[in-house]
Amino acid sequence: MYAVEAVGVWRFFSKTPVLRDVSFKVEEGLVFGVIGPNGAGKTTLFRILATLLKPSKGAARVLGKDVVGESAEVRRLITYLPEEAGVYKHLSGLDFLKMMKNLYDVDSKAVERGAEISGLGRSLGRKMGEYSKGMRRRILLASCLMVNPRLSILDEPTAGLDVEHSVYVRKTIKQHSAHGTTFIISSHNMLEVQYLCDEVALINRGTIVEQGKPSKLTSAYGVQNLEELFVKKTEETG
Amino acid sequence: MKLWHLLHKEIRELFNEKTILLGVLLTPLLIFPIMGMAFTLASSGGGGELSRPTLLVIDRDGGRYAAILTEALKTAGFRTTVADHAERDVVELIKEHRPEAALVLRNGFTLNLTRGKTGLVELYVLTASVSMTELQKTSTIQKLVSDASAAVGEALAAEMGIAVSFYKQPITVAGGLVYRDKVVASQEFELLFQQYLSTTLFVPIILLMVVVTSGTVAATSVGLEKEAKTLELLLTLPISRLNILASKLLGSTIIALLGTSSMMAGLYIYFTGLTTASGMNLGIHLQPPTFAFLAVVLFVAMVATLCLGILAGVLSGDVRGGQQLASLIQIPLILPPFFVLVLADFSSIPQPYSTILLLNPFTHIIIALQHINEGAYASSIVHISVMVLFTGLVLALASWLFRGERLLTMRIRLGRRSGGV
Repeated sequence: MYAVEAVGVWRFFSKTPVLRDVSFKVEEGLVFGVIGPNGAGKTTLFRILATLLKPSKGAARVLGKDVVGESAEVRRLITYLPEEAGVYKHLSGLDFLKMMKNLYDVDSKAVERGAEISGLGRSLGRKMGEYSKGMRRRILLASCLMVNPRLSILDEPTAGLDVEHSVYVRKTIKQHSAHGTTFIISSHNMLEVQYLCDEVALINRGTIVEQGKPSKLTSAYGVQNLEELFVKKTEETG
Repeated sequence: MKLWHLLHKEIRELFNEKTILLGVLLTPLLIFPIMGMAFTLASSGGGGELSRPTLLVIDRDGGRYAAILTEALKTAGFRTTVADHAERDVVELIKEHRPEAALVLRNGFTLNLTRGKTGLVELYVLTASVSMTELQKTSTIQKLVSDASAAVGEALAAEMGIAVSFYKQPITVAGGLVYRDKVVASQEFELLFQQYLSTTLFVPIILLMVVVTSGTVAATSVGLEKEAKTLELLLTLPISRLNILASKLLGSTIIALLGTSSMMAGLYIYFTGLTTASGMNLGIHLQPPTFAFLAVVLFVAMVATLCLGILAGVLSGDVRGGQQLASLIQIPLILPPFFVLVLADFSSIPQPYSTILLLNPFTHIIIALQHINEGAYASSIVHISVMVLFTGLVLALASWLFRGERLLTMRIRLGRRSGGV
């Protein structure tokens, strides 16, 4: 069974196609990167996989469950960190983790795990409205990972973070991947993608234009890194 | 169980919003007692001092009837002071004596009366401001002078052997007002008017304030999720959309309940203060059934506006949009029936207009309030039921919008927005 299986997915907003016939598969346990320029359709694809949007055409399955017909089951198996996700400003970090533990109905040690992943220490007792952007991202990531999801969809998990926080987030993702969690992430940082991802899909104008292991792709195109590949492919596909 | 955890989050978030604390909880609790105190203060302030107002009598006549009038003024209730140098300027004399009013008895006053002509006096009332108290003071002084004038007239008539009181008032009208099947003395009409202000005007006004605030708060609770970008996260949690809607509605309902309790407590304090201060017993203090029915109406009105607020929040993109849309939906629904029914009796409104008014669910709230004030509880239930039905419909619409992706993709924008940088 694949963690994600998309077959001919189209998505229109009004009459504008944002995703065009997107098909791909992600094996369980991988860190799968979706890269592409702004407006390529990454977030729309993630929202479909997270059951927030429906495909206009085609189908997507997450861990064997249809994202439209079995959306409630899908939501029990995944966690989703939206790009620029906010926090409940009047809840403390700890209260938020407790709420997530209760909503996912997971074991009582989940909050401890969340506290450890967040690395926020005593600040967990403070209201999240007082948190910096980095702290907010860490608590949100912790809430996504502490419930041990089978698939975690992270839309630009390190966007806007400083180097220290970015390194921390990458390290956390790597650790959880080693324990079997499947990740689908997007990022504009190609070094990050190269470091984290077992496989990547390059999406441009709503279409996947290339997919494979980063090392194989770079050697196949005779480029030194994913950044060069990204530029080359986006220029080729307009 | 999951609903409880979401509800806990909702309440925490809502309780920390200053608009809720001020608008829904504190305002209704404070405004009624403050209003009651203001009325009591205004009434007692005027009435207390005016029981025996000070009057400077400037006697430029010096005749017999001037003396009779001066005595009559005392009898009428004035504390009189007679000016020593009556020929001096009136304003100067007033400045010197600081009375509440001055009465100038012109030269020839007695002579005129002796010849069967009217005697002329000039009355000057000192007015500090244009207020209800000052108007009341002026009216009281004029009445006392009029009483004294009548007394002089009676003295004149007595000298001529005429029973003036008989000719002036050959018929005695007894009786009073019949209110709530109880005969009320005409003198208590002012108190009845105060009750009219309280039940027909102030209760709907405060209701208006509280429900509009509640609706805006509910719109804010959904708009805040969108603006703070927590909505996407919330919608991907393993909980149903109905649970999310229910937690928002329950959270807002708890606030509404507290708001209703606050308002009822304020009303209770107000009515208790009003009846105690005036010493009246017209049965206008809230009887338990009246109190209970009022609470039900206020609660239903609040839940209805909360549902409308949530609907506005769903349809808008952010907090500001949600609040604007909530106002845009609520104000045209609430204001017309309020103004029409406060100024006119529903039965007196021509047929087509009354039908149009009845199509507005908030008309039923105002009518229900009026029926409750009249003790017609059974007919108020009909109007409350209409409002409950309307609330159910709005709730069904909100829950339909909460399903699927409409919550994320629907946007109603009011006016132009400047483009982002």
